[in-house]
Amino acid sequence: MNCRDVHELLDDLVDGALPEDRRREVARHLAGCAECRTSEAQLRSLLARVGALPRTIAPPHDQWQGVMARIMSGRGVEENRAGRGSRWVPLGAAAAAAAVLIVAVSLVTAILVGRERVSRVALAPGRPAPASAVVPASIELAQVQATYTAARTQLLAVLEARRGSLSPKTLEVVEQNLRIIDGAVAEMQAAMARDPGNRELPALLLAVYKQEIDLLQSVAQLPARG
Amino acid sequence: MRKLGCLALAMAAAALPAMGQQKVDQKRPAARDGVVEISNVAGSVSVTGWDREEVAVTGTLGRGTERLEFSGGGGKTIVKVVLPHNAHHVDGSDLEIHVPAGSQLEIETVSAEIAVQKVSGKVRLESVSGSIAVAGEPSRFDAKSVSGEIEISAANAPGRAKSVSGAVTLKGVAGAVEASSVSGSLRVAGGEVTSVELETTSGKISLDAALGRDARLEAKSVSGDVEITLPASVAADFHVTTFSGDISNAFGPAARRTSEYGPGRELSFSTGVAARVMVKNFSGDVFLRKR
Repeated sequence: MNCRDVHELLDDLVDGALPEDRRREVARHLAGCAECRTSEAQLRSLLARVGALPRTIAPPHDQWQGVMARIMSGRGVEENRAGRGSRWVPLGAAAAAAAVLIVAVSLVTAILVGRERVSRVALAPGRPAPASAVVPASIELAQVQATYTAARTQLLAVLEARRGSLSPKTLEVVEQNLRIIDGAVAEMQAAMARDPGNRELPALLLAVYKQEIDLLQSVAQLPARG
Repeated sequence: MRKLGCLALAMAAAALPAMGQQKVDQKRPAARDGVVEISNVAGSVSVTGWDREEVAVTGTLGRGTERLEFSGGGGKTIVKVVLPHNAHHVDGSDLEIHVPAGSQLEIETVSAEIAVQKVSGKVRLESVSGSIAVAGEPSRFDAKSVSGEIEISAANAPGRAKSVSGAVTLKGVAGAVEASSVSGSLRVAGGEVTSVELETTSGKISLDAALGRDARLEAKSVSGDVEITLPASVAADFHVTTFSGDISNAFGPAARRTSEYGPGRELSFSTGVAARVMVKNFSGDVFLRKR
């Protein structure tokens, strides 16, 4: 059994779905191959992290309440960017950084980056055609979707809070592109419902999720009047 | 009373220059490979590298601008258009800046256009709606915009560019290159790339480059077409999938259907084990073309 064979079987190995004789063969190879052991460890680590995630994410209650209270009261944070001097602006990037982004987005990003990494492990040189090796089956897409939805909801609240401090043109561009992303997500979800066995669609869907989170994060960090 | 009126008029007239445009013409010494930070909200920023060890700023500050901060020296120089607190109606400022050619640039604008040329250090450029254009030989580029177009003509430079709706054009790139947009198109043309990641939701992707040995090329789009043009002699493993689009392949085999339930298409083939090309599309078409 060579590295190529082992890489093909890693997903099943960590899922515990490998027959005993195959498991022993893989174990023998892993004992003598540091590179494959690293791939196995990365995969197990990722699965452990994803498995430990909650189904939904809520920022610490008091922290989020404080953020929302400030948004609602119109109190701001001091901003000093891009040559505009110090000024008070509606709550925006700082709030996002303080409560929302740290709690939610970093988690989503970690998941998405992790999944990309898994894809790359699966697509490592020497591995055969990757049609069946995009994402380990044991990572539940629904779990990631719940996390994404929570992060998206919270970042959309930041966008709302920043509405008054962004230029109408920028807002229009952002909203138009959010609609494009939402349309793409809806189309892909419908396609996945029609073709649940398609293993490429989840990877594409996750890429679009990541684009939306990236876009909303960027909006949270835009300078006033941007 | 008439005297008072004349005095008021005279004072108002004296104040006019301060409220209007202000000419700028300043310079200060700077290291040949130092950092130059520039920020301007609206107007334009044009930066040119030169062989002197100084930063020079000329141009005009727009009506309503508070001042130009021009500070630092040695390893770090700051050029910043400062606006008054609570300023709502300020005209754009146009700055022409010369920097030592080896400088590392960090430029931020809101709607101001950014143009950089003849700078060989790293360049990091961000604008919300202004366009970004780089020509010359930066050692690395990092450009980000929401709606402004990004065009990098860099001689063999690696880097990344990211936009929301603005088109991204990268010419002459090499090494590791990343570009992404939501609806803007991505066009990449280069020498020999080692790692390329291109991602859009609805924008079109086109790439024309040579692949280094063990290079990795990944392109993902949801509804935009993807066009990959490579040398006819390229040695690579190809893996292309699309859910409802078509796949056109000038290098060999045709795509096959992958799903019993959906219209999925897949194409996997090899022209030699070296580089790896992966393209994923949802409803857009994929074209693999020979150069």
